[in-house]
Amino acid sequence: MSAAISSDDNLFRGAHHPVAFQRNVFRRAKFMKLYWDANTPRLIEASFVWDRYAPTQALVHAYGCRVSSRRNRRRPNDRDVYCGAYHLKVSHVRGLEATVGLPEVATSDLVPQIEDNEVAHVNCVIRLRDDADEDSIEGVKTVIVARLWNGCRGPLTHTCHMDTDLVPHPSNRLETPPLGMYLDDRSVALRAWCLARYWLLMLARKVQSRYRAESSL
Amino acid sequence: MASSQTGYQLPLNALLAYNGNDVAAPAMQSNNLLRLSGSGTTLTVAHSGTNLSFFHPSEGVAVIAAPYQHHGGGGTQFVATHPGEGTTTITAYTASGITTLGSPSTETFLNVNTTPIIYAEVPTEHGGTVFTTNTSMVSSCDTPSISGGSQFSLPSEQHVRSYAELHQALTDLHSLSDDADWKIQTPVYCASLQVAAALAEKNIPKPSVFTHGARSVVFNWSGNDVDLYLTISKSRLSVLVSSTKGIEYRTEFSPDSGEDTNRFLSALRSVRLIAPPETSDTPIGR
Repeated sequence: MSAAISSDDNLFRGAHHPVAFQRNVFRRAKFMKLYWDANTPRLIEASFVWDRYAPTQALVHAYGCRVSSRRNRRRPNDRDVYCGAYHLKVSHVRGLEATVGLPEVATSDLVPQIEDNEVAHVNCVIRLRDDADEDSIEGVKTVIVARLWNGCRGPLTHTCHMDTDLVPHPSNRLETPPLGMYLDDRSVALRAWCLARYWLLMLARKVQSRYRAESSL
Repeated sequence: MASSQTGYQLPLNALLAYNGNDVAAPAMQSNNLLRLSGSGTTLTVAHSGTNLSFFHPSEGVAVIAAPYQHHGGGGTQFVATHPGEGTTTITAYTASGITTLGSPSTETFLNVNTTPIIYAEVPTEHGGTVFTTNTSMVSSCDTPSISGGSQFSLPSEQHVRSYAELHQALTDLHSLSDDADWKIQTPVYCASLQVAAALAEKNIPKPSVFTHGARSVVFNWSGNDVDLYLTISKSRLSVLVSSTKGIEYRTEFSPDSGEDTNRFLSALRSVRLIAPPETSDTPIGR
């Protein structure tokens, strides 16, 4: 399944308030939050949106607003606000395992993983070498965050319909990464192809799920 | 500073002890908490060969942990200021943890047995109180008038304030009650205070701070084209200089690194990539 993701594909990472902020200041490590299990400290994960299933900025933002909406249903007293997204290439994630000065990373890849019924969700899975010094893992996390942040472009700010009451909106506080703003440099023909592929994929998925439902009856 | 100590070799073990005379507060707490109290707007503690950092525990107002050159005090010295009036409590962190000295009266402050020398003074608007200790028990205090602060030079107010903000940010990270993912562990908190104190001592602009979770704190400076990160865990200080081109520099210091850590931090003062301190955090309309 991983092979389906091309290194030229695009990824987006949503920025949410307060998750990506600390005392209302945007923090790149909180934005690029890495997950790991205490029992498997050498396995680090992060979530992204794959443009195969979100080929337009509107679809990327719709994804972010849905995530925010779900979080607010789960924790109504801790309001989550989707502020926008940052772009980076798949090659930036996969390139971690060949980064000079980062020998601790054994593999780094992306795995499509439907989460909360979101087909565009992909899991970034970074495995550290078994001989990587456990005391150094915190420093390795900083390197990973720094390298991913250095591959980001954006932010693509956005205000969800449900957050129009927020003045000022926390998206004003998003930071511009070193590579600068994101520019969708795809040709019109490529954008049309990506959009057509998206609708075909969604249609195929719909048919598939209906077939499964009928088969189970 | 001497070598072969714990932590990042920044402070020595202070081994502060509280003797209890003329101080209202009880004896030193088991967690080795140094607490100085008094009226006035500035409190200064000089501690030979040891870094101290402070915070203001009441009202969540940070007190400053910034060193300055004192007349004849010797060693590493810090000034802590606070905006409040009346009695103020200051808490100082040392290499060995936190030490409490108690709440002194206005005239006689402390009676402590310390190793090495502690020299501290609490100037008020019209004068000040000085108390000194050394390696043997000292039971007396002087209360000379300090006029206009001409006897010593203070760090810039902005520098002091910025490190107070950093201290508050670290304290916030340590005191998070409802977010276990981001609440930093106490050894990490203490280590980050030590590094912060060393940076303040070397007059390095305040970094921004973030964490990966409970096990580390990251200090970050952003330059025009490069970022410097210090990742502080309980047993390591990891250094990273990163740019869009790649990893420019990466190294680690452990407790055994001794003077190398100190030399590295001293060298930071002249590094071009460290930008001026960022502006204060201000709330948004939420």
